[in-house]
Amino acid sequence: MRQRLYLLFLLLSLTASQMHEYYLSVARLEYDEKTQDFEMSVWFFADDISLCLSDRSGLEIDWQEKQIALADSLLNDYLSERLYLIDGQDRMRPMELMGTQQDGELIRAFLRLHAPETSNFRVQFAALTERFDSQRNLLHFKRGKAKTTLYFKKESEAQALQP
Amino acid sequence: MNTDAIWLNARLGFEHILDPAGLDHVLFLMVLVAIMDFRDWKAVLWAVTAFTIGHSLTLAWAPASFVEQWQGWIEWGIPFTILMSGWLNILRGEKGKNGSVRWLMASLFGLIHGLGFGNYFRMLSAGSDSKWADLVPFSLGIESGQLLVVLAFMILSWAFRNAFAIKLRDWNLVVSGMGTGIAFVWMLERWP
Repeated sequence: MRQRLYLLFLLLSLTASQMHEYYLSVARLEYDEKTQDFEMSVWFFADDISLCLSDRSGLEIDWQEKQIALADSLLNDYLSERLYLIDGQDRMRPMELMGTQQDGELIRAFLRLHAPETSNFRVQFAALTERFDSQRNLLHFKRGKAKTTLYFKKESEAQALQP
Repeated sequence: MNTDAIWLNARLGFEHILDPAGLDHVLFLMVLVAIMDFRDWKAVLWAVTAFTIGHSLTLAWAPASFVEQWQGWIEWGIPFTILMSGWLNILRGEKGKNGSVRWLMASLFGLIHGLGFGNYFRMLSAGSDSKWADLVPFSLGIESGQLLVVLAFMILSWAFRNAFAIKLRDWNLVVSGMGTGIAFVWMLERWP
């Protein structure tokens, strides 16, 4: 019996083999009462977002200065489908990409949306969930002094923006 | 920092340990307590907490540029800690389950595992006003996940040893041997 146990564990030892893969993106959204703008910074792991954009476009993604205009354009199209606000009339309100910045392994994107009327707004943050099943997205929302944090997984619905 | 964010950071720390894709941290914990029984609960608690303190220290202070530059060696170092812990268990047996060597080893190896959490935590705290406000709940979530893993493993070990009349000394050889074997394969796979 003991020999069988040892064999079982030996077999497990030889078959178990994996790296710890994790998928996470974080966004910080703020509403500026003076300008009536939603302003957002969103961070992605560069390799994950590049892979995703590359899959969609068939192009190689490069965040270096020479190629950044193309990468930004692809990212803007992508985010308009996967990270957007929804107004009180259930209309999608994609945000405009203002620019990106690479910080080591992270890509930071800056987005803005002018919205004088903000009642009953919701937000959907489904970026990368179609590519990675275990993708998790966090969105921190701040309005004045009030803050809230929303958590999104693959099947998450849009959530109300109510700090 | 809002209460939603505190709970979510704790939850993500907890889930990060229990993530089926993250078996390396779980395997380290199993090997760490392989030689211990429920009677050694204080030593278990000290060892797991020392591990958490170790990885919290590197999460707090290791520069992002260091983590990115040495990412390959860090990933390789994690199974190395499992291999060393397994060897220590096999060589020292029950003599090594108490005392300062175990928690020193746990905290030292925790430093390396903390570097492994580094990129994840860097993303989690991106743009944050206070890294500490993110780190404390995240580390408490990790600690809770670790204690749950260790408790589940010790209950299963106890049931298994009783069902098959296996002595703790032999059980240690099985678990530490298995951990060492898996860690060795990972070290080969992750060679930078």
